[in-house]
Amino acid sequence: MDKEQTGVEWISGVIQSLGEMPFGWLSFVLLSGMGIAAFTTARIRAFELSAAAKRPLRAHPNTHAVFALLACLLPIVAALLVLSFVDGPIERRALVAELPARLSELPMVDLDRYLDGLDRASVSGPGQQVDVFDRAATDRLLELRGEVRAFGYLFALLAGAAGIFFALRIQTVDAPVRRYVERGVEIILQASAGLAVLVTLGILASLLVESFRFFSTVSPISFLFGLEWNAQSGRSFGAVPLFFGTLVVAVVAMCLAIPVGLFSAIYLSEYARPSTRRLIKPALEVLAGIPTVVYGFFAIVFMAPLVQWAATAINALPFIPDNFLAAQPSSALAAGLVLGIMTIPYISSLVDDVLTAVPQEYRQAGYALGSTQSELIRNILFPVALPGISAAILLAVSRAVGETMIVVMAAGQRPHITADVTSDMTTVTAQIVSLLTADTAFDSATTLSAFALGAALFATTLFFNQAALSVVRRMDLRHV
Amino acid sequence: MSEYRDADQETAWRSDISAGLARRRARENRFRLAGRSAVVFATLMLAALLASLFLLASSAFVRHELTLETRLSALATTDGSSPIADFTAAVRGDITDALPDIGDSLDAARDLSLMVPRLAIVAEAERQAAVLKTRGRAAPVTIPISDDIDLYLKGRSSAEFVREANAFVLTPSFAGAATLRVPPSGAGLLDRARAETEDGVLTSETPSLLFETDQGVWKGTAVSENNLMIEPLLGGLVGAPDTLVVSGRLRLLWTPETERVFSDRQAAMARWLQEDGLIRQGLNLRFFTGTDSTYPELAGILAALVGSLLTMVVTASLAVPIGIMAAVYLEEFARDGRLTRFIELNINNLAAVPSIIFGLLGVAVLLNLADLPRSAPLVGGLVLALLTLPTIIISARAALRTVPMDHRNAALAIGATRVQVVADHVLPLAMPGILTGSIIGLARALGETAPLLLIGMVAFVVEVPSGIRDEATTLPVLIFNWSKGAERAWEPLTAAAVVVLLALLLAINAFAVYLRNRLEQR
Repeated sequence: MDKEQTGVEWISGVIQSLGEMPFGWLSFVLLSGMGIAAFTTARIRAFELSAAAKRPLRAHPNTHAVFALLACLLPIVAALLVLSFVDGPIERRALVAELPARLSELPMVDLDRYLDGLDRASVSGPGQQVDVFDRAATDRLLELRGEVRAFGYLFALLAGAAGIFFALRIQTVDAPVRRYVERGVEIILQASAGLAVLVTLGILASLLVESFRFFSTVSPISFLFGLEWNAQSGRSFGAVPLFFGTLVVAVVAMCLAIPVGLFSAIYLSEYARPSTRRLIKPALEVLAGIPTVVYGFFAIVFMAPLVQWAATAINALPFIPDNFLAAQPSSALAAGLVLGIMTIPYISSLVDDVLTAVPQEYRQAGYALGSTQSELIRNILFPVALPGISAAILLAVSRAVGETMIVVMAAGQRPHITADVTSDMTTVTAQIVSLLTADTAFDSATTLSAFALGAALFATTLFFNQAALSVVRRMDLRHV
Repeated sequence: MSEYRDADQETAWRSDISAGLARRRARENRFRLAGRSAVVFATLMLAALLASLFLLASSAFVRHELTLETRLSALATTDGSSPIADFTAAVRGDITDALPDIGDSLDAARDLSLMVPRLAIVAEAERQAAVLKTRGRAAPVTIPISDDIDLYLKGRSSAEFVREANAFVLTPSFAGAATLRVPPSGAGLLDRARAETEDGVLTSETPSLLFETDQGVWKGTAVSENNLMIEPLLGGLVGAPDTLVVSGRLRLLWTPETERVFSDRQAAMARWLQEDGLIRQGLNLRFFTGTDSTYPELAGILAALVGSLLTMVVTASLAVPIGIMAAVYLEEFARDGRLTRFIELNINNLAAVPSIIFGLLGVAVLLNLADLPRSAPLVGGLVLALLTLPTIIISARAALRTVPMDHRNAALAIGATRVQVVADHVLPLAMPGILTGSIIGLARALGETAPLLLIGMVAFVVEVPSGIRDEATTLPVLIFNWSKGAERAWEPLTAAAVVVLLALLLAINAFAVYLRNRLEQR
């Protein structure tokens, strides 16, 4: 009886400490332990087989070892991946079921935050916690985590052992082990390439699922065509003002970026001396490498005051009515201009590539007909490169529509429709940020509307990207 | 010859052609000018961006600090515990000692107490207590002064004009007030101030004129052609005789008192302490060693830097190996089939998806479905890994494509398997390009902000994160947060953080280029 008691205690102690150990290290120990076991047993076995048959194996013993290693580690990794995804939800659900009503009936957000706190304390040690109850809850969380992990790791261990067993069964003198290893490596590589598909599926699924939840409370018609946006209060979800703001900012940006980007590309590829080109091209690339948050800050400290000053100056002109322009401290114009500066290098480098790709014969033919350089560019190079140029512009538009930081920092937060670009406007991306950084419950229509906006944004940018791709494909057929 | 029948017609043709040539030449020049101005505009914008940021940032790397010793060391030697209230009182006492009599009005006390932020004193008191415990005596105390005063001393709050002269004639009137006759060298300042007033009366809505001597500071109340009515602000004349000639300094603060965040008295105090050498300019080390704070004079970037580092570790350890493996599969193994084309299409599309969409993915899948902790570098790193994966795959594929086919054929011809070909021959040759591409992709991720905002990395983080599940923020997010600060002192600080971020990115990119050159040489 007594002995049994200590046995139970010992097991619960092991489970508790299993919960306290960091996931990464535990997995590392498991993987390397099983890996070494698989590798060495398979290798020894291979030598034994070869000695017994008195002839060399068809595959090198090391290949046998690697085969066993793969057979053992792949199932373990799969099991651990699953475990790392499901352990959090399982533990939390089990813990919430045991929590008193004052905690478990909290709104989702607060409960999540409380559980996050316990989670952190459980990893970094309970030293920070003062509340006795919180300490107890943390201990219980660790215990639950230990239980989940005990199952998870046991399963992973068994899967690994099964893998080794399978590998040893396969091992014979004539087994084409090398081909299996090749195939295994290829499957691993294929899986990593497939991850891209998985990411796309994840994006699609999360956007669509949450959007459907949103559209079960708000009709898609009123979302797409409604003129009033007041998501913070959860009352009106008419996204037209946001689409309009996005459109205005993108149009302003393109009005700046298309001519400047196009002409600098033409100048750099056709007119500039090589030394100038060597100097200017990296400068434009620097422009492309600057983080968008820096552009946003530039918009705040430089462009927005400049726009406001200019708008005030225009208002002060004698023949202009008072307050003709809004002259807000943050304006769609300022955000659009900075966004335009940001997109210049995208357009210029793509157009530059397209122009240099035009075969030399076109130029020679143009000169032979007696055209000047600008006539050559306008009448021959431009039409030939048009598909590439339009693809560059489409990609730039897609980027301008999806850009977030500049508009969040400089365009303002007011959803309204006006032709006055010096007033503040808000865009789809700026609203997504403000909706999801506000403290609201995840299930509310307010938060879900961010996903509907995200779906609209994703569809728009996807359309532009696809259009660009198809245009480029057509160009490839014609000239290369 | 029929064409030359008519001499007039020939001249007409000739002039037509030359007019056409002139027109074409003009058009050519216009076109070339348009191209040149586009390039000039783009480079000017880059220059404006960098110049405005660096100019703004330059003032944030130095800071004015107050160095005190007398009472503090006395306090420290008597009592080892040094409670914060005593410490605060001692700091204030030290400042009062250094200044001439500030009077006992409530305004004066308030002005004095706002010179040094209370939070700075608390932090310093705690440090002193620790120093005292280990070394037995107090270290000299340096405390950052309030950001508003700091900006003023750096000359960033108000235009200021100063005239020094030694022939001021001071005639005391009643209650400490006096009339000051200003020598010709200072008359220009008086004129300038008078032009801004009505009838020469100086109020809190006009520029301020301060008069400083070694006995105190006076404030101008009314100004006439070369006389200034003054009343004492700090100290003053005790038992003054009739008229005396003093040397002093006239200071014109251009921004009216109501439009700035510090009072005339604070300006006088700050200048006085600066004159005494108590306020000195020092390197703003706290900017690198401190963490976020609600007071700009105490804020630093350390926590954000560490947060960025942890996030990047997660991102790099996932995105780089997976990206390389995916690229190897697509370039070396994949047969041209429907599946391969589908994967390629996905990767190309993902590369152009706006980054904020990845943030939404992180919220929906990592936070809500997998219940990972909010605001943690783990989640931030995962999201950024997914974001950079397509970029890394694309650049790695480009690098793999540069390896000549002969290498593969030669290896295959001597019996190597496909895995051996890739591992022993293709990858080593392609590695420089792959690494460079990966590093540049990671540099992009380092500057990324939008998806991190959505997964809660905007939290106000005071402690330096110690693990990937801790609450953390990153440098770009810190820049975003600081840029929203209402106080003016946040602006140079934000610009300084931007400069640090740009310097980091430049270093990383330079390293990538260096690495490529070096590996390619071998």
